[in-house]
Amino acid sequence: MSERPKRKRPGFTMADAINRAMDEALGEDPTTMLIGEDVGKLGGVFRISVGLQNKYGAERVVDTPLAEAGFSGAAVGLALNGMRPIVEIQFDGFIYPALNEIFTQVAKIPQRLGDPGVMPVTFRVPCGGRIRAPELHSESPEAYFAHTPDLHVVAAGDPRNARALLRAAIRSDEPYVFLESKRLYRRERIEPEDEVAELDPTKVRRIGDGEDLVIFTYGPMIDYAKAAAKALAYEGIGAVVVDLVSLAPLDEEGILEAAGASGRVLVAAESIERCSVAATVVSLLATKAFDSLRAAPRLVSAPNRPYPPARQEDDYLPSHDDLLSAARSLVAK
Amino acid sequence: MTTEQSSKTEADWRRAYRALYRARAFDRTALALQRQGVIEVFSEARGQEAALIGACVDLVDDDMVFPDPRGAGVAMARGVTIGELFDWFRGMSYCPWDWRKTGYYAHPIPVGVQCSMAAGWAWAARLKQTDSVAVVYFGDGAASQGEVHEAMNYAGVFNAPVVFVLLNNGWAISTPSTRQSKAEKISIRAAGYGFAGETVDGNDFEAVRAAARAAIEKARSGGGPTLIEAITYRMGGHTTSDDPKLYRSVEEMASWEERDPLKRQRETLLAAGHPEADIDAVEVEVEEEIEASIDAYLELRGLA
Repeated sequence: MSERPKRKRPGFTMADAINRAMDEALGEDPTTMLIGEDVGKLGGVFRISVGLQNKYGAERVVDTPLAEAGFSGAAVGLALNGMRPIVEIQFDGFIYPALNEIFTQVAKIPQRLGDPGVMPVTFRVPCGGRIRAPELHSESPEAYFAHTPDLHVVAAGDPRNARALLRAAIRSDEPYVFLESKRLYRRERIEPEDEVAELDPTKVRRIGDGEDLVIFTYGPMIDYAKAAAKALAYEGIGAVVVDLVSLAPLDEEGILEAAGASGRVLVAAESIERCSVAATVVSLLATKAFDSLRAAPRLVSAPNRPYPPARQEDDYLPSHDDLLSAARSLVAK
Repeated sequence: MTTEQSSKTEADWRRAYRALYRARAFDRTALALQRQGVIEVFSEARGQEAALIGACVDLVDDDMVFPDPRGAGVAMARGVTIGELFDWFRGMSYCPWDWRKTGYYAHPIPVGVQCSMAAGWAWAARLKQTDSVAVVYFGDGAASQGEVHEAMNYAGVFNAPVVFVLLNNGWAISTPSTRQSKAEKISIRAAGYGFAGETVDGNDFEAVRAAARAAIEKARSGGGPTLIEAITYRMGGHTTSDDPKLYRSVEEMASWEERDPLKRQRETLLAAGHPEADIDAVEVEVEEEIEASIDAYLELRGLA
């Protein structure tokens, strides 16, 4: 008896977008490689690289030993010898063993060697929670990378811009940490024509319109911010969602412009608040846009404690209602 | 022996001894410049020259060395200038030399990271179908780093053309090598990665050179990695900020003076029939070269 063929649901997902971006990069440039745990035959635990090893061979889509520091260090050496590795980290929490390589080598080598284009490495990191996973599978580690000079940190949470964003990261001669909101890999399905073909990876992205407040967010909370804006519209509150896209460096001009329009700012993130990207946005506004603010910015993010077990994650992470009440309190001022 | 072969041997021993002696003479000079405040903290390689130079002297231009921080002698053997080295020790730049052209990479910190870098570089050399080889130096202290294990494991899995040169000098700053590993020989780890490892007398220039040459040729011809553990001794301090008398005995230090690799190589050359005057001539030439480079350097940096 033959196996029943799998039916692919129609529409283009963020997982499709990321797969296609890598497919295009591997197809265009023979020095581009994808390395990581289980990325070959299996296509990665999230099946993001599915089909790529068949198409490009086991020397370009490479299953590595289970050793994040080692394969990140090897990626440094590959880059020094003319390759352009894309490094897939299996889960956010598994990047911690590789931090030494990322902080002391990947991010510092361009300055050390006086050569900004010497480290064309892209780390792809599935991030974020609400997937009922074991410990260290739901982290939001972006602040560690954003705090590290000479690393670009970008976040994707939407099939519309994920392909163009990853293409930009891979095409760049500078190192990138590309954060993928794993909960959103297949959540939204779009028509191919709704995809952004090209984008500037350093610019914020406006989603919708609204004159009463702006919700800054990125990656894992993009759908929450959009849902909040929709709900607020029923209450007569106009909220514009602005996707930060680049977490480091921040698009300061784009943020200040978007904040200045209403003077009311909500920043939403899954990460803990202390020393976070979201807190940096607030700090930027306090120092450079104080006079245009009409209320103290609201920061909606996770409390300063470790990510809890799955059954408690809904209480730990910002909820839809948290966003709504913060928005209402801003507009009331 | 034909005349051509004879002159080749002649050039070869001079080239090798020059590289070896230059390492020693550079250290002496750099120590003096550190005391004068021209350069900042300095780490001597005195005692380790045979292991350092023996492992790199047979590399070709397209090969790559990932050095240990005590690598000035290796740097010069690869074509880094004395002035560029002074600039590094003076804190002018993190990599004053052209690492691609010289095939001598920047000095590694934290120690250990150079190993996975070298494995990756060598892996790329194989993917690009070149016959280049990477040589990476690291110490007995660095060998305790988890990343060194991961690097060797990688190199084995991908059959990367890399030679791991472990400079076991007995001491990681003040911590003895017995605190780094219970194993008598660290080279036995190679078996766990599926490639060959051997321990050699690191103060015997010819022994290190023979082992390295075989490992380099093996890597170049597709035979994969090798681990060479060179047993040697750091005769000076860890850096100019260190005082080794605080943690090791005078007797121990004296015993290694007798095994000084420079003295031994001089004896080896004499025993092989090279006239003493020829050996002296190489030393004089190097001393003059270094003296001239110091003058030029002090001039360049406005310190003359």
